[in-house]
Amino acid sequence: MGGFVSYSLGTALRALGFILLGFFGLALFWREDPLGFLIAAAVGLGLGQLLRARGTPKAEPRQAEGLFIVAMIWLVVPLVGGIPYIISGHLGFIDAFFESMSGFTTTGATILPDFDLFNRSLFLWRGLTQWFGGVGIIVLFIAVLPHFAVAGRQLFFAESTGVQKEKLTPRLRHTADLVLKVYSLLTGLAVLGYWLAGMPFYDALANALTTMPAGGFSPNPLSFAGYPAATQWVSIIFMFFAGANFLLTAKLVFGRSVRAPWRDPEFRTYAFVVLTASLILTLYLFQQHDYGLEPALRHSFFQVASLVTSTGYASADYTQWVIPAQGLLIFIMFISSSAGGAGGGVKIVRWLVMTNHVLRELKRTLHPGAVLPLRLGSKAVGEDVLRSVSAFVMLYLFIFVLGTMVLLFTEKDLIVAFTSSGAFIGNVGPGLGQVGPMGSFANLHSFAKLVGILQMWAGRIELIPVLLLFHPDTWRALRRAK
Amino acid sequence: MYVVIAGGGDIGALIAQSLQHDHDVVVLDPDPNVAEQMAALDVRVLTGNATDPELLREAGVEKADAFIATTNSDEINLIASMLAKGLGARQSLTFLGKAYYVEVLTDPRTMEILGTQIDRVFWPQRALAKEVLEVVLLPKALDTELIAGGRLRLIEYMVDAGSNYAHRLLPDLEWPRGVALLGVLREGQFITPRDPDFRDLVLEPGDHLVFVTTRGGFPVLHALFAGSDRVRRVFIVGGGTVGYMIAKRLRESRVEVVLVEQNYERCLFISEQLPGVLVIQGDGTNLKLLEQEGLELADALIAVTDNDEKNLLVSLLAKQMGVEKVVTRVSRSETRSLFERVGVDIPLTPRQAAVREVLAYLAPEGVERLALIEDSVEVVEVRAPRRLEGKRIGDLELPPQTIVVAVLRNERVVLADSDTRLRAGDELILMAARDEISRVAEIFKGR
Repeated sequence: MGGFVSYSLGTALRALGFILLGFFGLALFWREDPLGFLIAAAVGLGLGQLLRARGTPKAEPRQAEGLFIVAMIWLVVPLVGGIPYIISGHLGFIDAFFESMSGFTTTGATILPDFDLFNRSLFLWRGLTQWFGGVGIIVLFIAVLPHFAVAGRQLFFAESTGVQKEKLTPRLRHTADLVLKVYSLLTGLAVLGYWLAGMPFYDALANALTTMPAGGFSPNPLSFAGYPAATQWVSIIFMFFAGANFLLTAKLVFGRSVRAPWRDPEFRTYAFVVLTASLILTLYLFQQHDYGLEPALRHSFFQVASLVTSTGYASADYTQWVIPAQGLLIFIMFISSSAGGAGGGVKIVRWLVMTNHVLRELKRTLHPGAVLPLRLGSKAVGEDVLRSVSAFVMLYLFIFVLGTMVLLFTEKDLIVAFTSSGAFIGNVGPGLGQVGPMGSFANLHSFAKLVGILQMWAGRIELIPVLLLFHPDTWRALRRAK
Repeated sequence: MYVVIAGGGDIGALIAQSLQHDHDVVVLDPDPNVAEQMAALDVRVLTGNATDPELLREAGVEKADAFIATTNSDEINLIASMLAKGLGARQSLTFLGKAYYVEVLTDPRTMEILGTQIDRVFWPQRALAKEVLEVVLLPKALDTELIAGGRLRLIEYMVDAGSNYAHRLLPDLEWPRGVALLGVLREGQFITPRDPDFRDLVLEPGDHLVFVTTRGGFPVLHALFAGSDRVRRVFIVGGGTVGYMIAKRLRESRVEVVLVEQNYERCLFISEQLPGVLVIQGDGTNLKLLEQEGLELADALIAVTDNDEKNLLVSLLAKQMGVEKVVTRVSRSETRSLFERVGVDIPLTPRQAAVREVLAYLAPEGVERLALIEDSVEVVEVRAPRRLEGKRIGDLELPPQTIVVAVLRNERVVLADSDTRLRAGDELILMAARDEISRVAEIFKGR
């Protein structure tokens, strides 16, 4: 393993250790069981220090190394971050790892059958893992650790989701800074919003921490169904922004450019999808269920925003809704939200590229000689974008189908297998049936949980870094990098 | 005026030809054959390089009223015109081909740095593109031009075989209000109302009618010739600077555009820059390709490749497939009449368009050249001096071929008749044979 690889891993683990140490203090302060945090902090600090001592900070990482670091960080950090669940929360190893991975990857699929198992500090920790995961561990690094900025370039792009490697500012560090600023600002506003809308302060904080990363963990077993209606409206707004491109939001907030988002084809599509899907769903709920107009609107917008952004909150148990309504929610889960936001999944921009590609091929059959550039909105993008996007979409669907197959064997239930596989890889959280928003993944076969961990991991870091681990060239390059 | 022209090619020759009667013209060209070709003209030809200061001195640039750089090389034109200005030429004008140079030179910031080293830049491609657009956007019209600040329009229509006007005696025909017939173009000859033949002229299919109309009169006239047709679909063959500019403007007018270009890189550039234009990579003379893209459904075809032969072939193909309007680019003006002979409706040369601009710019004092009808007849604008106050237009002692077309008074436009009385400060639009222009200038001299 190259010197820089262990150095970066060590830095990540040490940082995690410090944060866990803070939680140890918090648990003591709240007079709760602090042992789990202490042990986890010790493991993180010890292992981190060891790896840092072995590594070298100065390096120009190669492509393979960069991707490897991203994959490893996203594997090791959830492992250590899951230790408190084992010790203080009385979960088994796989369950704890699942819960922790679900946290860091902002999936929000929970293994907890009984919310009494966790105390307040554990719930807050669980929320905070999502908050870190949502903005991206690498982005945090680059924003916080200056010497990481140059070397972090490749890592940043490996972790971030843009189709075009856009940077708002010439220096990566400033871009990362800007993202972090917007993210923190929105989180702060969400806390305030929830609190004013009638949530207790602790709940407001814990929920805000999982709203902005489009995570979906809630300390309330009923999710948002257990809070007043006003908080659900507040949540809709913040979920929507969690699913939008943070850089666009930054332009809106700091650049005061109201039009910037509307000029972006992805944002326009995103807004259109949310609006249309919500209104269709409203119609269904109004007609087929006993909801009044306001609840029908509220639940529709809430559920659509929650699933399209891969948050996974529930304002109602939608597994009780009519089948077409459930189907619509699963469908928009595959559409997913904007690149550069906190949401998971394929991302709208990729669908736009694919749609444009298909339309272009149709046009080409009519005009064989036509020269048709690939367009995103009115701007032409290169063919390399199409190559990477189509490979990604293929891979995504492949892993999704494979996951479904495995889950079918372990769970013997088509709906559970199909929706959980989609929810894992898209980092959404709940599915339908027994893994619906009011259920949990506790009863899944252990092997199914491992598949879930793998899918969440791969889905959060855009598949490629994880899949490269299975490519012999990566290992060859890593050996050479020694 | 004393005029020095660098370059005795197409443009240079055309300008020299137009100026020779009233002005002293010197032509510079490195090619010794040019002197021979220009022997018939009343101009002095010097053989040598236009960027050679000695030669420029010999040509008498220091006393020149105008220096015009017309060589095929942008760089030579730029250097030569700056040298000429430096040597003391009163104005230096230059032709340019590359869009980039034009942009740089017309940028005000460049002016600030360079001063007025170059007084005027002519860009033949743009002039051509403009002309093509004007023609294409009006179905049936062969040529059109706005004059007098857009208050008057010159427009040329062809008499079709099935038209109401075929085989009619010209003086019998009545035109709508605000429309005046300037003349008839038949086989390259322009017959004005002053011609003796005009009285008993019977219109034949293929005759071109040239009108001047006011803003109000134009739609009525246009409806008579074109009905309510609109241009919907246009084919452009050739994606060079001209093709690109035309495609861009047509898209802005919401016309469906199909552009055929051979070079793949260029296709890529155009399709990226102009969303909405269907760019086809291929040979414009490939019949199968044209058929497949539905050329027969197009309202117009514009052939603007760099190759005259190819343009001719495409145009004839299009004509044969029944495309209503075919506009063709011709690089050499000699070829132009040939094109017309074999059946191309509207051959245009980039040079011609630009030469018109030059002539307008150099017109004698008091006369503003507005348009050129078939190389021999010009439309000009003059201002009536005080001593003509109250005079009837019919009493003006104008040259035989000169007609007063319209009077602009206090921002109002009236089509003139012989009873109209002049007032000082009136602006008159006249049509005159080219060699009469200096006489006209004489008559309207003074304030």
